[in-house]
Amino acid sequence: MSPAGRQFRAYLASELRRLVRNSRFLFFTAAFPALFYLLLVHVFPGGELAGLSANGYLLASMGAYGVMGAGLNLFGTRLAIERNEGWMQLLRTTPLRLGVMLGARFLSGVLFGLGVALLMLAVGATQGVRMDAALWVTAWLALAAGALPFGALGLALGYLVDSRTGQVVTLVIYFFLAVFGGLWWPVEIMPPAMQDLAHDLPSYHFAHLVRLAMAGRSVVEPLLILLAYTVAFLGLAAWAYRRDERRVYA
Amino acid sequence: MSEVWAVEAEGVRKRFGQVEALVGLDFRLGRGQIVAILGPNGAGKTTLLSLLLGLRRPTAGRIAVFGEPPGSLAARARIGAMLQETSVIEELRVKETIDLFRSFYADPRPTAELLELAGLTREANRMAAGLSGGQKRRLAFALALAGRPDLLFLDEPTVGFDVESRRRFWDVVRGLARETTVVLSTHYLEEADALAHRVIVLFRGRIVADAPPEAIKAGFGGRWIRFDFDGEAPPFDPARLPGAKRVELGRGRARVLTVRSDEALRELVRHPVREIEVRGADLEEAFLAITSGEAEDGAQGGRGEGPALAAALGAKEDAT
Repeated sequence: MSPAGRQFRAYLASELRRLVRNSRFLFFTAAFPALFYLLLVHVFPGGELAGLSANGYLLASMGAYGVMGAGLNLFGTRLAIERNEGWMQLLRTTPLRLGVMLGARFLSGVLFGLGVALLMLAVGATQGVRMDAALWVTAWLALAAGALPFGALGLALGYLVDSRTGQVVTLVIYFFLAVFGGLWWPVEIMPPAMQDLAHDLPSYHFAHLVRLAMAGRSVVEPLLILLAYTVAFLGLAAWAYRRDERRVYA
Repeated sequence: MSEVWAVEAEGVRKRFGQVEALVGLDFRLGRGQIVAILGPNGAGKTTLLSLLLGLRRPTAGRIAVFGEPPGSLAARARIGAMLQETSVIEELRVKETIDLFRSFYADPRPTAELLELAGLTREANRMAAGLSGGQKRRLAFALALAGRPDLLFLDEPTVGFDVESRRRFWDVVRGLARETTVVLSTHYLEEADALAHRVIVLFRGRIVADAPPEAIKAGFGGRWIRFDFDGEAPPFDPARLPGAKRVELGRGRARVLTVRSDEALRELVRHPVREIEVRGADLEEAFLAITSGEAEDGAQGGRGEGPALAAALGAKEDAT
């Protein structure tokens, strides 16, 4: 195996091991959205929204909420901490390539997102959400796709914030995107001004993507929007990385 | 040939805004040497290490690590570093952390050997977060050795070690130095004295001394002369002994630190004193003498003390 391949595999394995062992992280990104979903389906009256059952609609929202949290926290908080505690400096003295390290982390985020999505869909199935087998798979992939823009945003945050403020800043952004993107309560019941704001947020388009996928409709538009967000956030991350480079390693 | 040298530095300068952290350093490090870098806080030690590690770039000058630019993959493949600020990855076991680092290198040391060298064999399956401060430092040491480095950087390595672990650590480092160049920055002057073949003293971004520890001691530290006398006060003013740098007076006993011990002794025996005892000053005293600006004094007074001092001062003249 090539040196880069060997490093990538080992780093990915070690990242996944770390994720599975971090109970606080697991709680906030996996257990919390699942429990919140169970709460919401009992609070909201039934009926239909955006062509889905209420339980299906909420599943899309909370699934998106969980995957978004995984992406943001995976990089935002953890990367900031590792940067601050000298771990990143130490890695820079080894032959581990930066691209390999970030790539492995990114893939671990996507894989973790797939796991969170799977858990959410399983919980949804227990709450009477019914779809064709093919739609379950598209819904799963749609949920996992959210790991891309929010992983990229997390990466940017990881290089923008420091370890002391990182957790708070990441959390504020997380909740802002969740609340105003219509993940905690449906966009359809928001006042018009808030609906306008929601339509500018990646979180809305992510949940929208999942809802369309679950309803078996075309997902092209939100998918393209999310890809555009991914590119923009990666650009921001590259800028933040270079800024950090100049500050710490000039 | 550059390859002969583990490190070559020519005219290295580093400026942070208005602050000149390093003001023109020239030195070469050969293979299999243990070199201690000493200096008070702000002397430029950390800056120098960060340049050698490739974490920062010099403002001017050239550095080569085995002929390669620091920070290049080729250079990074041949070095190992134990940094001052060590953190551990919380969710990994000791062995897992070591294996992660081993995966970075083409021909890593076996895990068992690394555990053994770091004295962590019994802790192999413990979570890294649960280690004591000293054990975390030892884990950092194991990580630094994972790639069989030809050049090993140890930044304040034994902070948090108990006496026993420190001795053990020194033995391991001595063993490694047969094939590895070791660059050690330390506040424990005893450590530099015990370990290093060569001591580079940094002060205000310059190399003020570059010599074996014995020469640093002989050249700068001078010697302590102790003697007993009768009565309340000595029969003469000990501060006026040739080369006297410091005088400590006790009941019927005096201790004088002098950089011209031979002349001071000749002078001393003319007075009615008893029980004269002479011993070399340790590195800590040498260090204080240099960095408190007394080195110039010592240089003038030390003319009679031979080539050691000249060697110690040679680098200083070059640096300006």
